[in-house]
Amino acid sequence: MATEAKEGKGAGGDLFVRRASGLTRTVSPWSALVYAFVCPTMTFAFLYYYQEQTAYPGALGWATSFLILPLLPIALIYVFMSLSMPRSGGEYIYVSRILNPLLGFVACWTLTIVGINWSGLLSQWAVNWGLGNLFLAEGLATRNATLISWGKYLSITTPEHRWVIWLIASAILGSAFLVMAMGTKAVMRAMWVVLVTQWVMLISFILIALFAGGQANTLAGFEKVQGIKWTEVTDAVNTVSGGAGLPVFALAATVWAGLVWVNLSTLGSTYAANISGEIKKVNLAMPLSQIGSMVLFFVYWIIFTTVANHGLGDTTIRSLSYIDTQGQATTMLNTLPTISYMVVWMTQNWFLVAVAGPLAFFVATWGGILGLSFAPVRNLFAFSFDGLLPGWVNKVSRNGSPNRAVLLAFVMAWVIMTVSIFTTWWSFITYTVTIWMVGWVILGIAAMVFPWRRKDIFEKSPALVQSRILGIPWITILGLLGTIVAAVSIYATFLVGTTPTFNEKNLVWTAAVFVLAPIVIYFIAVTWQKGKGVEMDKRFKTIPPD
Amino acid sequence: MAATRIFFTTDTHGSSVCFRKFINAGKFYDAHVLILGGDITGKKVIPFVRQADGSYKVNHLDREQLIAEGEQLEALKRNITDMGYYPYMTDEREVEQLGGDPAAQDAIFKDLMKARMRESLQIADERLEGTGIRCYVQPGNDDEYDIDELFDGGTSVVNPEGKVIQIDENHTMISTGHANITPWNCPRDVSDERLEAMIEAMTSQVTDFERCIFNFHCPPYDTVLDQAPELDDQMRPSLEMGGKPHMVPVGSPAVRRAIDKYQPRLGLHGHIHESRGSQKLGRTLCLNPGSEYGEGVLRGVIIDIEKKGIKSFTFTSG
Repeated sequence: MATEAKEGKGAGGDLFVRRASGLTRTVSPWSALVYAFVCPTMTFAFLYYYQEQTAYPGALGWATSFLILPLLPIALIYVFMSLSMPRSGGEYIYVSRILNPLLGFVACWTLTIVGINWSGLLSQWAVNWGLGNLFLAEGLATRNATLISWGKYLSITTPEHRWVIWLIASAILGSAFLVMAMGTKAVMRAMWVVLVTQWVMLISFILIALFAGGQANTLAGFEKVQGIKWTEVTDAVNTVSGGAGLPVFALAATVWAGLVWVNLSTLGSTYAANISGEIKKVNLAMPLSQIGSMVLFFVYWIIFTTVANHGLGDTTIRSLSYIDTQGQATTMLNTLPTISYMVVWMTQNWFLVAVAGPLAFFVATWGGILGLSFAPVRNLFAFSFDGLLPGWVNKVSRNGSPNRAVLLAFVMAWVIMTVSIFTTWWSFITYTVTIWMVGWVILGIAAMVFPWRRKDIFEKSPALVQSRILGIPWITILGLLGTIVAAVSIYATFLVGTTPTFNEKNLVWTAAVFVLAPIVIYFIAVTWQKGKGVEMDKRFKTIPPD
Repeated sequence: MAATRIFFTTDTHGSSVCFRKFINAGKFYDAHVLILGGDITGKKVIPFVRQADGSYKVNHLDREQLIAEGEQLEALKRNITDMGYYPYMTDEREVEQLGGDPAAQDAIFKDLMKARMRESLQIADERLEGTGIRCYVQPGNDDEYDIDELFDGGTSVVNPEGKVIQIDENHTMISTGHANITPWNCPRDVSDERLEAMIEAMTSQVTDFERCIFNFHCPPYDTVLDQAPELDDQMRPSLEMGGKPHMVPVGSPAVRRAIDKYQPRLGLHGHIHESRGSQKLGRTLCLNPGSEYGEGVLRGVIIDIEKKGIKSFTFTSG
């Protein structure tokens, strides 16, 4: 095994690497790329493609995918940091080490709370747009009054129905966290099932959309299934627009929609892991896989939106999403018409409706709860090790599962889910983007100053990390670009068009609470630990070597 | 009775800056006892190949540089030393000769290792003299047996391998730096059966396990402390969904059995740099602070231990 090390290049190359090197071979870029792209949130395009046009009327759907590219600097920050500090464990350590532990905690906390927030929200989505839409679509396709009535009951969270929805959502949330408590193997098996389901859904949707007969067929199906004339929708467009018709395509709306909505699909894809082993070698697999997965995602979004527009009709989606700025499409159809729901207008075959539509969306949503809570659970675990959360959070079960941290994350997600069902405070998902981007602003700043604040670590980093252009370290440039992208994204979340649930004051309060909470927790923890004789401020202080 | 404060770190792998930080950690953290749990020698020699014009060609961190003698050269040597590697001044002819002579390479490695170890122990002697701080440094599975003799002459640093040590008036400690067999067949990798026998040889001398510390370099099997990337037969990490390495337990079943059987107060472990964490096995608190020696960061854990139990522990990143 040590022979791989002796491929001597340059002055002695790897000639003098000991047998006990811990050296491993690097993973091929293709392997890293495939695995990086395999992410369970791809099918949320079925929701986001509709909602982004409601939030930002005038957004050019397929073009919003270009806005995945501004995330590249942030993805590369993670890559560079993990090459420099391969055993550090993410933004918590990077920022704590470069700036200070409080900011490190805040940066990591924001991403943690976003993941937990989503888990709570997704369980409500699973009821409304998974089960609710499934019953409604199947009922309409098969003219089954019972299914229709169930669907109407579950697809919108009204004051009369919220208790039942809350109970079902709690069960869905609980089932996902139960799998998590069973350990990594159980989670991986579940995720593979979800992934296969997603791909079946996507391929089925693409085939139906390509061969069902286009917009004419869709509109005919709409009228047949919904019992509503399409002219009622076009009339509503004229009413909402004051006679102006559908909004013209606007670059600004497209940019904001992409920054906020397309990027929602990428949460989790920047968790880069260094796999280069003990001897620091530049591992091109990682930067290539990050870039490659973003390019793949970009291509995927283009294909998805093009296919959806072909099968459903561009104006179909735009008209409904536009009148839903006033909630009118949702009222008219008794549900938010996600792209997965719209499958029932393309075909009334009950099997195809399920496979390509709401059933698969339900499975994907459940998988999303699981996938998006992984990192938050790990982070809660890490916070507990560092005395920021109580010690019992880092206890593990006999099979090594961090079940206390899982329980805490479940409780947090469940509280958020409950608040979102019984109030409108946190129901608008763009709030989470605001919070998330605050974390990335802090990370970007840390990246900018890294070469100077921690020169000792920077100068021990691989050549790629230390590389410069015109004398400026690339990591500094990436940090600046990442900070700008994150700051602009925060701004974009304040520009969301009027919807029934969006409220700017709620957004500000939500962001403030979730960003201020870690500061409060930090100072409570420091005070508490000091009383026990533990000096928290020494945790990250550099010991002088001389 | 005041608590005894222990500072434990591990896997410094020859990093000069990490060892110096370790010695200074006593004063920095107000610790009474310093323990370095194993893997204290470096993994790589970096040749500085003299060129005809007097400059040196150096290949380090995937970058080949030509450096003239002077401050820049010294700074690079310090950087390499701090990362745990050994700078070696040589020339093209010698490099060519050594390419076909593994025994000569080994000899150079051992000389450099011992020289740095000697220097480190000297620094420890100078800085710890008169402080009352007790210092224990044990070789780990990565370390050649050749360095053991260097501990015989030192006054401040004790190699606790195979011994029962009185840490304070209440607690004893038994130690071994050996580990179960790894894919790299390291110098002190032994079969799990042999490791069990080595542990039993020490436990037979302990009378009070409730106040005993197991300073075993290898962590117990199948805990949060022994998770490492799974390697395929080509020594490549296996990936799972999302691009993350697939982690598997690689610790020692013998260590696990010993802890389960004897239930000491505390288990101090290293070996797996990625697996920083704590886990209770019955009443035994097991700790692994992880390692980031390559970045010059000294990961450790401060443990305050009293007669009645462990008062507190705090992971540090110095």
